[in-house]
Amino acid sequence: MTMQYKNYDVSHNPGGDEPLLTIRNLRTSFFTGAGEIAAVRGVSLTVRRGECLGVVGESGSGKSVTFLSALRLLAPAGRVMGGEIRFQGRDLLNMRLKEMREVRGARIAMIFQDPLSSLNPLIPIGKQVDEMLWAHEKNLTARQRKDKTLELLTKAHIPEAERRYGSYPHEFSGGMRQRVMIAMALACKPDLLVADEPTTALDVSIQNQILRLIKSLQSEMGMGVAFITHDLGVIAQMCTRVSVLYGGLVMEDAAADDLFDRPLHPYTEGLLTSMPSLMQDRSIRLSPIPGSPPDMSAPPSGCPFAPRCAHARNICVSQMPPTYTYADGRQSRCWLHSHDAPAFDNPYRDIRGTAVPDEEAL
Amino acid sequence: MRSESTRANAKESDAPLLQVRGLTHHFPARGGRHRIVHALENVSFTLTHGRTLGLVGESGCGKSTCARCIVRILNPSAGQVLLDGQDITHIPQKRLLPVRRKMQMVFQDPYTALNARMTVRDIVAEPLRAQRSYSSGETREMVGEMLSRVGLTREHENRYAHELSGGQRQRVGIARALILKPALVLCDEPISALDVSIQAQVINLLRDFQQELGLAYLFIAHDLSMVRYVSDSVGVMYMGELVELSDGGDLYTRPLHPYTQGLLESIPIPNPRVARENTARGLTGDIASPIDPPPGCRFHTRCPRAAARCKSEPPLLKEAAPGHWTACHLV
Ligand SMILES: Nc1ncnc2c1ncn2[C@@H]1O[C@H](COP(=O)(O)OP(=O)(O)OP(=O)(O)O)[C@@H](O)[C@H]1O
Ligand SMILES: Nc1ncnc2c1ncn2[C@@H]1O[C@H](COP(=O)(O)OP(=O)(O)OP(=O)(O)O)[C@@H](O)[C@H]1O
Ligand code: SF4
Ligand SMILES: [Mg+2]
Ligand SMILES: [Mg+2]
Repeated sequence: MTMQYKNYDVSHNPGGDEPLLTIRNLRTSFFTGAGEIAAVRGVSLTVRRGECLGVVGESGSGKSVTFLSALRLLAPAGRVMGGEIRFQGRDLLNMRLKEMREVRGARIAMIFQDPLSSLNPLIPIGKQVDEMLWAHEKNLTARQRKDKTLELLTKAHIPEAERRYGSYPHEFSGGMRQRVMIAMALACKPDLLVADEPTTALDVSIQNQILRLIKSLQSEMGMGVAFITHDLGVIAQMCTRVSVLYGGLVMEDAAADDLFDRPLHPYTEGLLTSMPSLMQDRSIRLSPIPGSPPDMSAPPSGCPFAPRCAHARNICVSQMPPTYTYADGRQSRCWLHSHDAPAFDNPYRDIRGTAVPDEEAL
Repeated sequence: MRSESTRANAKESDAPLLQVRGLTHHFPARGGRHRIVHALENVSFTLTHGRTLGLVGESGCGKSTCARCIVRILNPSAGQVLLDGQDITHIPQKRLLPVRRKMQMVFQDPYTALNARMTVRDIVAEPLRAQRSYSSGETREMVGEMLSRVGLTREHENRYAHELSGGQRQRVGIARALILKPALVLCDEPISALDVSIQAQVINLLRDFQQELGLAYLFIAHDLSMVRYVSDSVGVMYMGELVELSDGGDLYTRPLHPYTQGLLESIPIPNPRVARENTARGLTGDIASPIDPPPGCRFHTRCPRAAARCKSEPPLLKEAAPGHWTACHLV
């Protein structure tokens, strides 16, 4: 008994466990010719030291915008409408821009989803990494910076870094550009790495090597990682916890093992069944979730997944479901967890004891 | 009439739609006039009407270069591309319009492939307008229908490309490539920016078009499960060369080339308990330089089974089993 208690204590590490990054109730909109696009509508999530949080979800669900908001790198049309973002105890949204720049370079690094538009096409890639180092480690000599640049490029598996130092971005393949981005992100040994689809352009073998590299930095330096990806295989390999986004909201939050064993949200379940297995029968059609995601310029008042959900009831269409929390910490935003939900044809109710809805929704 | 329809049928069934022979492309490399990047080296394959050839391989191995040579965004350094029997390798750019009607491409990078100053509607309508044979009413209708088929709504039509998420942009690129209902679509990583549910929708969509219109695809992707699922035959490239090619699923059940074997072992498994134990699998080592490709078999620097011969003598692609070719001395 005592042993168990101790174990529990250690793994939870009370006190010393303030999350590295806490995003609470973030709301972000874009104001375009077509009106307001409510891209993020109340996202809450946390990343702890040494932890890799997986962020998955529908394309357009607000994954990139959530983290771009946190780094204050939104496009000019974007505006944070509400919520709180704390990094190492500091309030990122109200920090002075100068301070924010320092945090961005030295403490938080981001690998962007679009490598080509985040690299300068007119500057050789070696020079770009070099400049990144210069901005953060002013005490290095030019020679040291060049050596370090080459070391970083090599670590990110750019073959023949020395020769490729002077190449321009367009001379690289898609995956090589992505690896340059990775080298730049790791240049400053960040406390938090936000990796937005960092390996989508990579083949599985390089992907595997990059994932191992990120993982080793995570355990050596206690770096926290937010890993945005569509690849559930990558999530399984990298992440201990997963947040699932849909329609600008977190739909489910769970330990990776639990999520794959048994999704608690109909959307997550739909995701898991869409994926072909390696030995999928070619004559059988894939089974994607039918329908299309909500129009975020007129977001639905009810559950955003309702029009596509096989379990949807009247209340789902009219009212936003609260986030239910189970005793083991798992969370899911779905009316099916309500104790008023019907038991018939409801695979989600009461399977894990009673769930508590969040107050905000009551 | 009759003879025409039989001819069309014959064409559908067996005549090769695309023949690629000895296709080679060298880029000039930095640091010396005589230095070149051997991006694509002597690649040959054939694609029949209505079929799909999957192309996989390491990042930087020349897959995009191959597709870009076929659609003539790049002019190949050597080799031939035949579309429907017509040699299009050296057709001048201004006479490519009828070729473009038959052959379209979905580009790898959805961020730069779309013109930022155009609305989604105009981007998708552009190929129709270039052909100058559709009224504006027809154009509007076709664009609307195509966008809804790729899972975008009317609401997206007036947006600019930079106002879309990565996956939404990729679907705009797909709509644009399919709108002319070409015979051949070269898909350069069409789904890697999409979430799995939309991936499945897009794949079903590509298959529906294939069944309805007899389209053929060259399908470049990193997701080996997806490639297996969509492709009738699969080719594996390494450093500009085709190292394995197989009709049917043999490549997955009996991979012959050590590189293919390593690739298959690197696939992440969507089960956390298995995946964590498996992190040590897969290929290691660094890719050699495409500027100075290793002599002999280009893979020998990373091959766990390399023998003396592999270091000096380049292996040739040979049929090791019916419909299954590989370039490895040990097979
Ligand atoms: N600059 C912008 N202007 C207008 N709308 C935008 C802009 N950037 C993003 N959006 C909208 O915000 C929503 C969320 O976009 P976001 O890029 O966060 O999606 P995502 O979850 O990262 O998707 P993906 O997986 O496709 O990258 C989308 O509906 C998108 O169209
Ligand atoms: N314009 C260019 N100038 C010089 N070298 C180039 C150019 N474009 C591509 N290359 C080189 O040619 C090789 C093949 O590139 P390609 O883009 O075809 O690779 P790929 O197989 O599509 O890779 P990925 O999976 O990363 O997209 C790479 O070594 C790349 O650096
Ligand atoms: S709240 Fe209703 S519509 Fe939304 S996921 Fe749950 S059951 Fe489906
Ligand atoms: Mg994104
Ligand atoms: Mg490519």
